[in-house]
Amino acid sequence: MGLLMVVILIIIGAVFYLKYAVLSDKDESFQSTEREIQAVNSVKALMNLETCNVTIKKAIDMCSNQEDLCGELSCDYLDDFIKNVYSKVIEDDYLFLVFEGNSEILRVEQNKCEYGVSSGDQYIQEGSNYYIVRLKICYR
Amino acid sequence: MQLFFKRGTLETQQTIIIVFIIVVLILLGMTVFYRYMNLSVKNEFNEYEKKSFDNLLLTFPMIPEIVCSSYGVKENLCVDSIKIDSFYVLSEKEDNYYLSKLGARNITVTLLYPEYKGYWRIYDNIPNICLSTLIKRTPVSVYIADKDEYGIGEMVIQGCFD
Repeated sequence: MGLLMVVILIIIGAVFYLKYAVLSDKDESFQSTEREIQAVNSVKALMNLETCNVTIKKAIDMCSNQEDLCGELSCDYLDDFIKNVYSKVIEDDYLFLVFEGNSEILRVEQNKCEYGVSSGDQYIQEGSNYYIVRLKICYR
Repeated sequence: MQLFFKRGTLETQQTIIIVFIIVVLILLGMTVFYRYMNLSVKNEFNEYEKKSFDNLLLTFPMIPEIVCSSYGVKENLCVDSIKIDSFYVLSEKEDNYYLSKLGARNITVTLLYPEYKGYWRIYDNIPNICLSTLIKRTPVSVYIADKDEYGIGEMVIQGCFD
């Protein structure tokens, strides 16, 4: 009888332990999702802006073709513009990259940002050209 | 005969004690199980509330009431400042419908870029008494209708949880 009780108690204890062990790290995925949403929305919001009477998508296309924008090289102009915009939107360090195929055409970095939450690849189209935009935010 | 009677009495007493202990253990187990299940259901409900709150961060800027569109077709993913003002009036009028759809929330948008003053109250339905509040924020693209240009705003969603 005593042995049966001990066995039952051990089983009850094991069930509780398993239940808590399985439900332990739910909050981390929740945090991650929120930050991913912030990164994706930051890219999408930037892509709707205009500067120097051209859209950002057009400016990226011009940067890819090494054209001038507002009296300076479009890539340099974009670098300053993106830093100016994101200084008001993102409080943390970030790394903003634009690719055409596999080659990187624009890199904007606020301090050094190695490990962070990425927006993933965001595809943009300007005319017949496709670009991949990626934003990584390194939360402090 | 006397010894046999004493042994029988002793065994009966032992049985009663064991039955009593088992009953106590069963009652204790039922109480713990009930409390645990109660807590588990509450936790799952809170988890569901938090998930739906998190989803709101992703889905709310895309609801037809506020999203930028032309002739009913979504254009760039942004929120329209004129629609926001109209939605605030609508949500006050249809408060029961939006309370069931969005829950007890306060939703605002503050313009961050360009740097002129812009602040919109989108939805205002948080009760005065609230045990705990959770705040989530995300950048959103804002179409500033009176200037016919796009900006970036910060959408803040404040949720009330019991």
